Amino acid sequence: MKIVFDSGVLISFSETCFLSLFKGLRDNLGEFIITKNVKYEVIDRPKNVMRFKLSSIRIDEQLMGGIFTVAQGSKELDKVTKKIIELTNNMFYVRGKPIKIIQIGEAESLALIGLTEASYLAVDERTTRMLIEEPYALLSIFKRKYNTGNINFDKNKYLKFKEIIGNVQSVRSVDLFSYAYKNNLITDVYKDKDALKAVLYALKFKGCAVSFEEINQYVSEM
Amino acid sequence: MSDDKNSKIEISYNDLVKQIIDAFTRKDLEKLHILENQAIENAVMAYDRLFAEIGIAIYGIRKLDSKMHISSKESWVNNSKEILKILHSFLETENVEQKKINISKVIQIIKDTDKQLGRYVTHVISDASVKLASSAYAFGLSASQASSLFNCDKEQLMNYLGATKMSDEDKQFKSIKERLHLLEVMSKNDKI
Repeated sequence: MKIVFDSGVLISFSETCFLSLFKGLRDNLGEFIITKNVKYEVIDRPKNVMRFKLSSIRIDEQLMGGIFTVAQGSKELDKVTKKIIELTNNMFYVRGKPIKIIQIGEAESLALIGLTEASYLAVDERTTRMLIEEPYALLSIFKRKYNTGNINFDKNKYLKFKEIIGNVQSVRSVDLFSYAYKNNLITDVYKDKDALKAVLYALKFKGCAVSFEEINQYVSEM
Repeated sequence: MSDDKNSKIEISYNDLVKQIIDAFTRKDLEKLHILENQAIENAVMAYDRLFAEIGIAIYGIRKLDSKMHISSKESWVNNSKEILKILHSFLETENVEQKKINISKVIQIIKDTDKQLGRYVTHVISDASVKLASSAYAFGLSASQASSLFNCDKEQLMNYLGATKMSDEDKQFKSIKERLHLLEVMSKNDKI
């Protein structure tokens, strides 16, 4: 199974010092892929800023170790990326104007999913995740945030977008850690419910879009 | 929902800056905060970096002006006058590139003042970029799009977002348990 990674999950795992888990996860789940844009976002750009350099060194170590494959650019990838940008950034209209919700890096990851027939996008932030799984949840955010009733969703563009990316699912850092926990990929020190809860909370505080309620419910049901 | 005739989004750069000059002259920090939110919404809706920069400048101005150890200093009084002068120059030019240069100058003054009189190693403009990017994310932009619009590091933004209640307020549509189950089923099917 192929999983395309957005930068957020890599950052969350790096900041909580769980990057070493990726090897076991990859051995269990399949191929982990990132785009050149994601590599730039997590390694090339932060390595020039001392405040974030440590994280870039850590993630680079994962790349050098062959845990992640960096997808090579191609004309086809550029073409599909452009199409995805056109569709997604003209899908939601507020007061008659399209909201440019995603950036080229995210569009490229989504294009790569379509071209490689990947099953998953690993993403911690909510917008791209909602775009894939539940566009009406995104629509309800627009309705809540913008002070107008003039908000529209172009369903035809959404259907064209889904046609390109296929039946892809999304997974967050908290889901990946929970998988590692359940499949004994972690060291003994984390093998109790309290430790699991602590890690899931830490990932949330690093930006993973998950609620306290969701974490507490999951841990209590275990 | 308000009627669109009353929409606050339909504002030009100049209308916004005129109101900033007025509020800053009157030391009306609350009004500056309202104008900052307006700048953010304009920036998000039009994906407009100049509105984003104006928002960052307003944040910087109101933060410095609200701190007694800064606002009471003569250097800030002089810098405030300089900021107002630059904002008037902003109004006088029709050239958008020149307007961008003017806002960059205001931001530079804020940075210099903060460096000289501030008490933190992180500067107020960096904080502004992250906080405003988090608002853009709240408005529905992706994290990368929001950090790019407000020119902040995504790592900083993710950290900031983690400390907000946003994820707790969003509608949950798939639980960890459900995602985990699906992940296990799909990985097993893939191996068959």
